Amino acid sequence: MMALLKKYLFSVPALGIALLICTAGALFFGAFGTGIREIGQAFYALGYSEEPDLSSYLILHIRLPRILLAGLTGAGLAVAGAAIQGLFRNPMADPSLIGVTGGAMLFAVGSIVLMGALSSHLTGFLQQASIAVFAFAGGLATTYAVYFLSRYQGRTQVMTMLLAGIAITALTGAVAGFFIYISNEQQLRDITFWSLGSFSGSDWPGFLIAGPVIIAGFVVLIKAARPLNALLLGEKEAVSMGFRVERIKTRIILVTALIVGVCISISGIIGFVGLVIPHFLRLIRGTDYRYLMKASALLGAVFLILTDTLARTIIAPAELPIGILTAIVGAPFFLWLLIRSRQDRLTL
Amino acid sequence: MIRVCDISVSKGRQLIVKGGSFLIRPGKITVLLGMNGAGKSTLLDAVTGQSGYSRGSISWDNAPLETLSVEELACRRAVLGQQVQVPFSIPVRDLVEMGGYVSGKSLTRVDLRKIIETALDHAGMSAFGDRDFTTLSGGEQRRVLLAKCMVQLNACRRTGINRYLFLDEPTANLDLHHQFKLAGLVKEIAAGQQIGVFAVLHDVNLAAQFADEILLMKAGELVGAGSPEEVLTRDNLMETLGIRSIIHKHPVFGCPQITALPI
Repeated sequence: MMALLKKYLFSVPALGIALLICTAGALFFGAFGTGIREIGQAFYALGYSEEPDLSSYLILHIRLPRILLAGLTGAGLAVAGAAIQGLFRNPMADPSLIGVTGGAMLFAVGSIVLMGALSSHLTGFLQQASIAVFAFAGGLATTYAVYFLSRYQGRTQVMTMLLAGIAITALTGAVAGFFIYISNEQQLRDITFWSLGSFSGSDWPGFLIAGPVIIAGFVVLIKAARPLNALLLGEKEAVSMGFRVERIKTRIILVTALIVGVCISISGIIGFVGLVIPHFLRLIRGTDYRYLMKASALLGAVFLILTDTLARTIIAPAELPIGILTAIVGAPFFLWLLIRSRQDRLTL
Repeated sequence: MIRVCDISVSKGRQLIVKGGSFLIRPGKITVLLGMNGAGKSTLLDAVTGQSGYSRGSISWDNAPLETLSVEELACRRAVLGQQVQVPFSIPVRDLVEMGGYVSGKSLTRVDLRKIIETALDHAGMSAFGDRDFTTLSGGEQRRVLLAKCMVQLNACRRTGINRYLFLDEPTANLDLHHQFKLAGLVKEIAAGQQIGVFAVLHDVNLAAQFADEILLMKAGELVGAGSPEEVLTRDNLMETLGIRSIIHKHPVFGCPQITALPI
């Protein structure tokens, strides 16, 4: 009974419906409480292109893009995590292993400190935009370095890549540490907040940039579901089953770096989603990537929309960095699941 | 027919396989014998196209191996590898289904289902379809993987091509009952479906009973080839496998029966 319920509850259509409900539901919550009337008015104003009043503006231009971005980021991080775990054939793997997180962190911290030194007159918007651009560039640059280091005779050696990723992440961490050391009080606060993650800077332009990248990446990774299944048996096996493994590995690394780079540049570092969401679904429904990719995307989106809603309401009018909440909500739940699954004699 | 002509394979700077020529015929079982480190698996990898080779030529039914794409090769042959470690739990039936990925979408769900169930049944694993692969014993896992290979060979509905099955120590970890069962199954597959089988084995008696042709490998070189009667002689066994032996005639099958003696 329980098993059937689980299977039914976490099927792709059910998760899709849950996502729609969460997205709509999240519109009602915030520092500024809204009822069905305000939301109706807001969309009415949109539909008839009337000049929106304050509450409509808040709903349409602050809350809606923020909810959509949180959803996209959650989907992106979860899918990237699932792909990386499959690529490395390792349950502990998460996207930070390919260096993207460390690189983004270094470049973001560097830009906060150095831009501050260059000019203290940057407007908030410009500063945020430049942090995002630098974080994205940094994530891709380090991933490329890690990828380059693990290439040998036309092959990507996954084990080398894992170790190179750890080394490069340590290196970027050290340099970022140096920047933090020379930063002033204000920069230190900026850095701390950035690294804890937040969607407070979300707007439509951000959504229009991030959306296509994440969705395109998602499509590519969904198409890699069968080869990712085959990779469970090992690279040699996957080749013998008719997959061009080298090409697929390169594609997965590139797409993951793009997705995670974009997510980090929007929202800072949000841990836990990429690791936990795919595992959670694995424990419930097994490892078939044809299911896992779609379900991870949907559940990742639901999870971040819910935690972000919590983040912006729990201590309103202030808000909590979302990175804190994802871990506080996610970790105990995941531990509970681990213990449960041990009783059911499932293996992770 | 697969024609292997004087091929050499090196890994890094080391020459692992030093020139070997032989044939793999459809419907026949070819067994490769040799000691640990003789280069058997390396040779198998080169012939299946899973890794390159440095000299010589390999042709599959008159097509040079290099001209066959990964997808094309997957339609023509399946490989049961030596070791498979699966990092996440996965139901047995899902794993066996992976063999069918090669068909793309040319196969209906019902047909694929039928192929999967038949393969599971042949491998004696029907009752295990819903079990988690990672919780199975080593021998059970090998039988599941063999079923996956059978699905792969049957999922590609193409006429006019020969199909081959490569087995790298298929009986490792199997109990005696399942060793014979697997060998019998492979023989049935070979004869019944005209599939060419190439197997690396360690058990000379199993090889003697089931092989149509035996290849002997020593330190990277092929030093003997022929029927079990021709190849399994006292001198050959001493030279390539390093065992002293007495060879009798098998009381039932009439093939050579080897009794190994202390060295």
